[in-house]
Amino acid sequence: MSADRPVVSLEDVRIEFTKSQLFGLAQDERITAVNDVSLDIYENDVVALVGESGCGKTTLGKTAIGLNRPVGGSVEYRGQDVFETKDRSGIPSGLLGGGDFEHSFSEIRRSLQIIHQDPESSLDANDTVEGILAEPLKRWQPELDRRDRRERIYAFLDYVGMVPPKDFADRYPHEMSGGQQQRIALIRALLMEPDLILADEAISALDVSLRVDMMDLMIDLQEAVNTSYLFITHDISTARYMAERADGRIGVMYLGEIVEIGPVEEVTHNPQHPYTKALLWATPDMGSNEALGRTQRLEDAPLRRLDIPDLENPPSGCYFHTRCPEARTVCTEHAPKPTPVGETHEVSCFRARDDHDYWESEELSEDAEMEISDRR
Amino acid sequence: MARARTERETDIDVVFELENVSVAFDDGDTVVLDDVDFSVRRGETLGVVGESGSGKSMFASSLLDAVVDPGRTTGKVTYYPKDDDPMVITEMSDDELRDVRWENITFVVQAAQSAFNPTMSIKNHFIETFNAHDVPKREGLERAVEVMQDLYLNPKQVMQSYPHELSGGMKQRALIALSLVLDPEVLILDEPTASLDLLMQRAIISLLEEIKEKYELTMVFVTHNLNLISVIADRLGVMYAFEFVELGPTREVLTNATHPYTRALLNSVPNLSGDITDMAGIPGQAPNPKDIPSGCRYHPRCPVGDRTCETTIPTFDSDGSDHAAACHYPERSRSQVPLNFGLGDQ
Repeated sequence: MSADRPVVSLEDVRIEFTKSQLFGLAQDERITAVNDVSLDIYENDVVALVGESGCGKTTLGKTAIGLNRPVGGSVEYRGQDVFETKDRSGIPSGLLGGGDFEHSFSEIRRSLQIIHQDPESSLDANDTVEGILAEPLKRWQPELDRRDRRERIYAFLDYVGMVPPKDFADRYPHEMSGGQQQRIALIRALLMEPDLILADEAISALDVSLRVDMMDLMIDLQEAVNTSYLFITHDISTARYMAERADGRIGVMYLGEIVEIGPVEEVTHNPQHPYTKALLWATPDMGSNEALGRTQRLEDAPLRRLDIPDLENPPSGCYFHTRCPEARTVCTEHAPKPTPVGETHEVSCFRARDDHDYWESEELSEDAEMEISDRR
Repeated sequence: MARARTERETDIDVVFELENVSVAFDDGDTVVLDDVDFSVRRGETLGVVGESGSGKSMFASSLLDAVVDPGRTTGKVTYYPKDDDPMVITEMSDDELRDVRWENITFVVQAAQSAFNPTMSIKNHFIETFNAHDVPKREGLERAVEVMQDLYLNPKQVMQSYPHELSGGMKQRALIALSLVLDPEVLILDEPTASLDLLMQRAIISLLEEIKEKYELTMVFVTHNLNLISVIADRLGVMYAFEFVELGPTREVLTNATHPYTRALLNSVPNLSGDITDMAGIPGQAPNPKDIPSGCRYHPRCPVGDRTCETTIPTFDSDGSDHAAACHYPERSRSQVPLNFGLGDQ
């Protein structure tokens, strides 16, 4: 799957947002969006991050490609600190604080690309496809002349099935379908010859019948141009498709933390975190007998509580304890750290360790907060 | 195509009957629901699936003649109340419709946030509804509390909240509670879970199932999410290019679909258990309403069809069972487009 050294390495990354209180008169409230997350992404790697809205997956993704500065921890590109490079990028080498970096900040920026959920708004509405795609080439490969650029662009259009290329090259974004726009956004990112592409819900806005083909295209092109994907989705079956095609990993995020990460088969068929199990419960397979049977009653759901806690006021201990059917007293007091349960499979849950105090800890009584178990 | 009438004639207890119902914009130039004959059965959960722009929301709106301006609904929609005379929805005045709309049939929309007035507490939304329909406040509130509890909402807390103080999932459940408070018999849900968290989506499906039993509802559930709807629907209707192309019991449609589009759509949905090499998208694009293909509307994307399909519109045939589809070549469709998941062809 990957070379030894990661392309991008996140270590204990912490990201906070500030919410102004009382028009700035009172002390600002800080909200932790990503809470001490570490993640290594290798060459030709695919990591699919799944989680509910607000779990921090997009924020984490944008940090991985250098768009969000963490308040704690570090982001490295091929072993070089991304934000340190950025801070010193304007200072000539030789001066104090200036330095010769192996990779310049503009090189790093080129190497880390993004595809957004809504392709139309990310493409310049006043430019043709050829103009949009020529832009990165002019900037990053000035040695190419107009003919070379056109050749590259047409070759890509041809590859993604937008034929004849000439017809599409002259079109404006609004003259194309969502699927075609997204393919243009993908080509634009790939023309930069990136090492990592953040695909942020990149197929969610497409029609169901087009999603698999778009993912196939991303994987096929990955093999052709040697890039990695950090693929963000709220749908675990989509994550499974993308990661399994590339022999990658699935990471499950909850309230700013990666609670479980591992090989596709492990996460989907041998999940260790109670939250991963709840996500799988929430994703019925339409072909399964279980789905075709009657719905389980909600009280049989692998959840203690329906509603997600407020990120501004996160729970104590393990963030999932308010909804976790397995939670015990210790889970309200201490936060579990990532624990290996397989070669590349990690889970942040006390239950992953046979010798943990959890097993001696008292089960939580059903207090008034417990919406599901308590109601009937 | 007189399916709906046959259903009534064969003593099936029908709630809605649609005859030649169309919805058009631009003075009839843009047809977004085309000549639909259909019936909804009392007590069923009918799932209506299709991709965006297939006409499924228009179908839902047409049931209550609620298509937004300047869209126009033509044809005949008849509603058969449980203990009352039939009402022809398409011939009713706005005032008459307003009463039916809350007391007999209610809509639950996707965007709960825009369904509530941000300056009013949830309780006042309920009271306003009671006033508009001459329901005594005390009686109404008693029922509201019961419905809220059934939806795992804390009535006291939710009632005094303003919409922005509730999470998306709470707001959507509060909207469902409001929809049920006048004891309607039909709930029409248009992507009611689409903007919610995954766990909440799944939870609401379970809740709807529980509520449907308790309050003896008929549900029409419009969605693009095949995985979720398969859990709850008794029958599935599949729409393509502004028409129904297939309709049948959920298990039948999922395991033995007839229409090549249905089969391709099922194959295109990623799932957790199937072999990923069998999953595939559908080449090409759905037509836009101004450029409808001749013959079978699916023929430009269909791997099964031939010349006939280019020129002749297929009829919606049921081969005598409860399962019907509009395809010239049902046998070929089944053999040439194998299903890739779970139960698959049996």
